[in-house]
Amino acid sequence: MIRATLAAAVIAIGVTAVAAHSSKNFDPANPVDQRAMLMHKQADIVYGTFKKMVRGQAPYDQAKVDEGFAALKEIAPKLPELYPATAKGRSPDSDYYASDKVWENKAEFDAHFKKLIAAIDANAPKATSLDGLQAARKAVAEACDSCHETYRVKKN
Amino acid sequence: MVRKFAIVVVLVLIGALSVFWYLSTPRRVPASALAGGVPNLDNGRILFAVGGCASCHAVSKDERTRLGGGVALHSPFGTFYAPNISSDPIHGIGRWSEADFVTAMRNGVSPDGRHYYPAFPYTAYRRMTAADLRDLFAYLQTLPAVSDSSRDHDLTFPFNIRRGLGLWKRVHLDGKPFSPDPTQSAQWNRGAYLVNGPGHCAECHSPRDAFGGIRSAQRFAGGPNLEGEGWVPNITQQALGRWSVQDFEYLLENGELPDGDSVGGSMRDVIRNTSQLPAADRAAMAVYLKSLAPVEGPARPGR
Repeated sequence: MIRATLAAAVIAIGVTAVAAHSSKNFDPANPVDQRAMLMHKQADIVYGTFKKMVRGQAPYDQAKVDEGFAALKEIAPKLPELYPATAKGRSPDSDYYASDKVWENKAEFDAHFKKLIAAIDANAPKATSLDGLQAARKAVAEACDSCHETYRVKKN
Repeated sequence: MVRKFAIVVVLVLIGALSVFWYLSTPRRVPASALAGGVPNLDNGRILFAVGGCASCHAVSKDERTRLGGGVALHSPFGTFYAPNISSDPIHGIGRWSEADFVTAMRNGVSPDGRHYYPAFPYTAYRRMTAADLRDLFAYLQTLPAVSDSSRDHDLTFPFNIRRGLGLWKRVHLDGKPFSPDPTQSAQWNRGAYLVNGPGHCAECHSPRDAFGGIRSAQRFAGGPNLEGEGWVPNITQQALGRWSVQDFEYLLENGELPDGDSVGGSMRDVIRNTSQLPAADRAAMAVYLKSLAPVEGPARPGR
């Protein structure tokens, strides 16, 4: 009886500790964490849902494709304002962080978001078949990649 | 007494300098090492892609055949500026002979007998076959002449003493060509050749010692990004054990990672190159990379 209670207590403490640690430093109101979260959401669509369909690992589903593009259209415009000079930190929830180059070349950096929004808007209507999705996804991924080439750094 | 001592010191210094001078002699490739025969320009174009020449020598990411140089490569030794290797006869390599080119690529020595810095990865290119070097040289000469002057490197003392590289090469340049492993398939060997030779993947994906030589025991096991910030990942099976051969192929084709992400940073330009290769060559590289024994990389500083 005592042993069972003790075991339960240890497990409860352990679970609480893990839960507290993983959410302790992540703050959705903090632009650094917010942008990490939104970027991950975009990645889940482009490099998750869409990728599986394009590679034949999941059936083509027009509803999911439309949902994905709708989400991308909603998220992309929120991103530019999440990089003020006061928010240069690193998110605990991400393997990446924004390079200082973002603020050294702010105008060039911001231009990448315009390209991303344009790529999403131009390609969403083309994603009406598997082939269409393949081309549309490639165009959007290129917009993501071209910014990451210069401005996203992998943590040590 | 002091005079005798002074004479001894001078003699020792002369002796040491002579030894240094001898040991650091730049070596030229003899004409007998050249392939002969008719160059294959298609092969040259493939090697240009896998060798990543444009990544350092092109004037911009979009003008990949205009090889006027200029890319700055930051390092702990200072900043290197990639030179003009266009077909321009004055500013580029337009007047070079094939022997000049092979000497540069295999031995890291210029036509006028000076050592090149290993920021130019001849430590990998030395593995290339004479036929491949012939084809690549011929292909380079078909590209446009660009008349930009090459910029001098900006290095700290004593790394700005070129002759010293002769000693470095004695340690890090074994002069051996690629030797296929007879126990492995032709495809594996093709992959091993492409990755270790023109692909020069280990040049970024390995840790280096204080003099910038690769720590061979941790080859491919990743290390600090010498060019700036961040970390270059471990690409041995220690880190990529869960990747399939197809995952490696996808990566080389479009930079996508199995976990639903895509490479960034310097790898993006690598993918611009590898995406142009024949699929069979990417498959060969994938087979080879999947076979890399697990190696523990250097300790990473805190995140």
